[in-house]
Amino acid sequence: MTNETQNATQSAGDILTTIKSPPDWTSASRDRATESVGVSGSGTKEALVVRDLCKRYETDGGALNVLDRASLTLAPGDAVALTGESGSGKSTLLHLIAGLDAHDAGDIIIAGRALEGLNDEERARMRREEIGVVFQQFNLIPSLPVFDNIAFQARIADRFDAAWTNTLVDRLGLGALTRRYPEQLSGGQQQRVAVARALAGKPTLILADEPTGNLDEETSDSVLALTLDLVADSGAALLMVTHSERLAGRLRRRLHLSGGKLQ
Amino acid sequence: MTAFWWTLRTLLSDWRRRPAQALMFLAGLASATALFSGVQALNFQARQSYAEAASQLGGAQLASVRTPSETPFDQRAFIALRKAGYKVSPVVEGDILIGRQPITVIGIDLATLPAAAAGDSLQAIGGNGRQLSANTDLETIQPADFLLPPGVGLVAPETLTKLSANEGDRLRSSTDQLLPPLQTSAGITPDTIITDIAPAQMLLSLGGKISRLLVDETQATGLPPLAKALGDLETTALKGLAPAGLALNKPTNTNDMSRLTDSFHLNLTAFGFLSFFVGLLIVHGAVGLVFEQRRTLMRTMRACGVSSKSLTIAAATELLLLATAAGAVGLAIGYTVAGALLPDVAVSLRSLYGAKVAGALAFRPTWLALGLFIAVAGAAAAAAGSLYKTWKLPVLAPGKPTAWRAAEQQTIKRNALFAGFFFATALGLLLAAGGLFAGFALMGASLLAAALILPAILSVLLRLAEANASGPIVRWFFADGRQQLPSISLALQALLIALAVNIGVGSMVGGFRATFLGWLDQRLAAELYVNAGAPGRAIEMRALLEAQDAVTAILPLAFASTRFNDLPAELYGFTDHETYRDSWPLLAQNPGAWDRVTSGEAIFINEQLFRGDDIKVGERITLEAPTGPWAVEVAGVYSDYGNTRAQFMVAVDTLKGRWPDAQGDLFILRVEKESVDRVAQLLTERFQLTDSDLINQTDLKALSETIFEKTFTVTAALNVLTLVVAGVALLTGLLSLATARLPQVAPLWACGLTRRRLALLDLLKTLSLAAVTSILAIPLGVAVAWMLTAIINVEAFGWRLPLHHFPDQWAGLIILAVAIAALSSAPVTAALWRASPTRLIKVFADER
Repeated sequence: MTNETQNATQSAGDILTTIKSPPDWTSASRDRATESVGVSGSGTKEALVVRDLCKRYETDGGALNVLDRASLTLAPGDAVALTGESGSGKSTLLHLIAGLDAHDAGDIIIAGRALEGLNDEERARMRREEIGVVFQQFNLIPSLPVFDNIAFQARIADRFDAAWTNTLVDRLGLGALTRRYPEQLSGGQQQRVAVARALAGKPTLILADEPTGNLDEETSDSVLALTLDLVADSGAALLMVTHSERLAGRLRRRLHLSGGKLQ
Repeated sequence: MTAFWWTLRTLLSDWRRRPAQALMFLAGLASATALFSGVQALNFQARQSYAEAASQLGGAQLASVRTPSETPFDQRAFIALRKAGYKVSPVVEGDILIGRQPITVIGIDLATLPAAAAGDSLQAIGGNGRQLSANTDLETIQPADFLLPPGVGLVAPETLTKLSANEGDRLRSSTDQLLPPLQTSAGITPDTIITDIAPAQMLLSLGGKISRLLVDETQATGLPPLAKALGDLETTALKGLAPAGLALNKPTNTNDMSRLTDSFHLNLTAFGFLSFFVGLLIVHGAVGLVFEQRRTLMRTMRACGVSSKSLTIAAATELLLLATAAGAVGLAIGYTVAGALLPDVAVSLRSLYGAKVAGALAFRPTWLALGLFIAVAGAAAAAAGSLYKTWKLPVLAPGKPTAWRAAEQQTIKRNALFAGFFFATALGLLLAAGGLFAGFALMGASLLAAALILPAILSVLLRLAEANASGPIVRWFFADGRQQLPSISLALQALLIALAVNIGVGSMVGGFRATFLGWLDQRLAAELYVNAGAPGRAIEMRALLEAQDAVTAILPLAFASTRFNDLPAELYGFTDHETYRDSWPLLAQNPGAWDRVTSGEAIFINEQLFRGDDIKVGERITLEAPTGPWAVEVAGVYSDYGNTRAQFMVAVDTLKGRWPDAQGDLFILRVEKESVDRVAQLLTERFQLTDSDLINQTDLKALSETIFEKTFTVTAALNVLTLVVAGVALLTGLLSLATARLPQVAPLWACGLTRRRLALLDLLKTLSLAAVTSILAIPLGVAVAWMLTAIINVEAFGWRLPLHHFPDQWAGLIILAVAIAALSSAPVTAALWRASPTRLIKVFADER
């Protein structure tokens, strides 16, 4: 594991160099957005705008307002940690933004395009083209080798760029593992594959749900370092749910969810 | 398209991780398709043979002139009608024996044969005056070869093989008549020889007689209609040539053989469907299991941006590809199975209905298309629920197996409700519906209901056992069984159905055997059955027999054919004697029935008419006799196992009076036991009788028993195959479970139980479930036996048999089912026994 961490940390430096001049995929994404929503005062489109978002669950004990007029804005290149107690609604917010769940009120605008009113097909398209998701449980596809796992989302979005994917593979220290299957990898290796998959499609927004929750401290540090470097240099925005104050402190901004409100 | 392609590729790649489920799916669908398509291949082949037989000599297009009872008449009738200007052509037809092989001989007149009757084969040798064409294998035959001695006998290639003969061979019939040289030709019905009319008349001992006249479609203008002319000429040109008169028979598109054999084919089809259904249960189980195991994968794919629509279409396409592959394998197996069973089916059809079916299977594109369609449709039906769940899959639902088990408990409850519905349907069908189709629907609904309720029953039994168990291991044993139940319930359902059908069919066949053999002993009470062959010889034979002290009774028997309810029927005229009164078992009769029948006031009918046509004792029916309609009362019903046709028994004198052309040179002889061989030898030597002319009781019983055994060969074979399919279901179900078992047993291993003990407990659990299922299959099997004997057989064959039970057979089946379960469990037990500690530890490390 220590070797992996060293490799990964070393790779991170190389990634920084590579990402200095990434392909201009964020602007390409933005060009596809047609609505004049989510535009900042300076005229550039925000990566994510969440406005007055409400989500309520009916429980045996009555209605539970998980999100109560929650709002946030992420500019391209932003990296925001989302903290909160268990059950405070952090994962729910991430799921709503990813279009995996439906909100009750408010607006979610990604790369200038509102989620409101999109059907399942359009939400899926938004997800594969604009969003990369990293799960705590890695959620790799067990039947595909590492390289195909990394390329999966980019391929279904018709955005597969072999050179870019190979760059990610090299920088994340996965070069010797591309023909292996997920079950043959350690937890840290699996999570690096998950990060590569999220980035391979060149999304506008990366959503990470406790991405290091299953990893030891040393490994989680190295994975986070790689992720942050890639996000910072690519111009994509990152919203990361975490329980860890230590990890949250490494991101530029921090939002705390409590009582359904973001602070 | 890109998204679809990568989604499909990912789904297909998932099977690599699940070889057991892949095997389960492919084996289930391939075996289901094999059994269904095999039966269809048999049915197609038989129906084609009927159609060929019906269309032979233009049967489906040409009208014909015959006597009402279809007996031969004087060939001068042909000359009389030709002289009157009508284009008719004579045909003589009858059966001979070559060795022990019955062969139909058809004699034609090539010069006058209508074009529609000639077909390709006969046109090639100049039928209807055409010149010899350069056609196929017949180009070496000249019309003169056909017409001039020794002539030519055209046969199907398979007939030549069956007779162990070569092209050009001249065989001898059992009456020592020399046949024309045989020549193969496509399009000739199996077991048939077509030759010129003159040698055919000689072979059939029908000198100067013909069986029918084919009527050309185009007749000279200005002639009165033939039907009218037949009436007009009856007292002039045709006088005395056909005592019973001649009638014009219109061609018919639906031939009698198809109608007669419908029940037989429906029976086969039903068993094909049953096997198909059992196979589909396996497919359903495999797809359902894969869907549950793929929940996490599909959730990941959805999170990566695959829409539910794309995912569902990709899953459906995946299913289509796999179903086509499995269907193709199934068709290959089905074709092989059908090829192996066809000879027995052909024997059954010939002995039961007199139908001739080609012994070699022909390949048909329609059969292939139907087989593939049924494979895909079956897979779609079996997977419809899983595809729907894929479409509606909530992306955020937990993908944990515990949720599945909870859902499966709900499924068990829902299935129990469906079972109630099918029980109610079965009850409704039993009380209100009739007919063969309703019989099969009743059996299907009952089997389905029982299969659906099975998991609920097992679940309750396990819960009760768990509640009453003492000791933690025993409690775990039953609790774990309940947890495991949803995963193997489909395999157990398949086993239940297969066992129940086996018990049902076994009871029916066993019961039939017991009843039939007892009935044969009664029915074949006489010692010798003789066919004198000609009236003159009959008189001479009778004189000889009357001089023999050992012959205690000479009972003349007459036979005639007729039609009843538009189907062929047989009439037997018997001589009153205690042989009949004491031995013939009557199912129902009026007081004084024997006296009334022997005096000519009434008749007996066979069981087929009693049950199939619903004719009651005391009812009056009308028979079309050559001497005019005969309204007569039914005095009794006799059982007639092995026969599928309508049959009437009348007094011999009454029959000869009303059917003047009846065959009357048959005798039934009562002979002292010790003199049977001597009398038989005397008759054989004096009258040169053949094997078919003189039959003794022993041979006739043996022949009848052979016919009986062949009748159920196919049913029994399908039965065994269904049990094999259920075994495959159990094996694949357990293999699918194998990896999922580790997390369930690892905690017990950690608590101190050895892997060996855990493996044996697992084996014991599977065997117990199989044993309980087998025991539950017994009452269901008895119900199936009742439905088969009391409803389906009556509708299909017209016989009702007493219900017999065979507990030793049940015990054998239970042992077999447990053995199948043991065999199926062996790989899983071995894997658990040999599971390395590292693998078990990984369960706790959550790194599996």
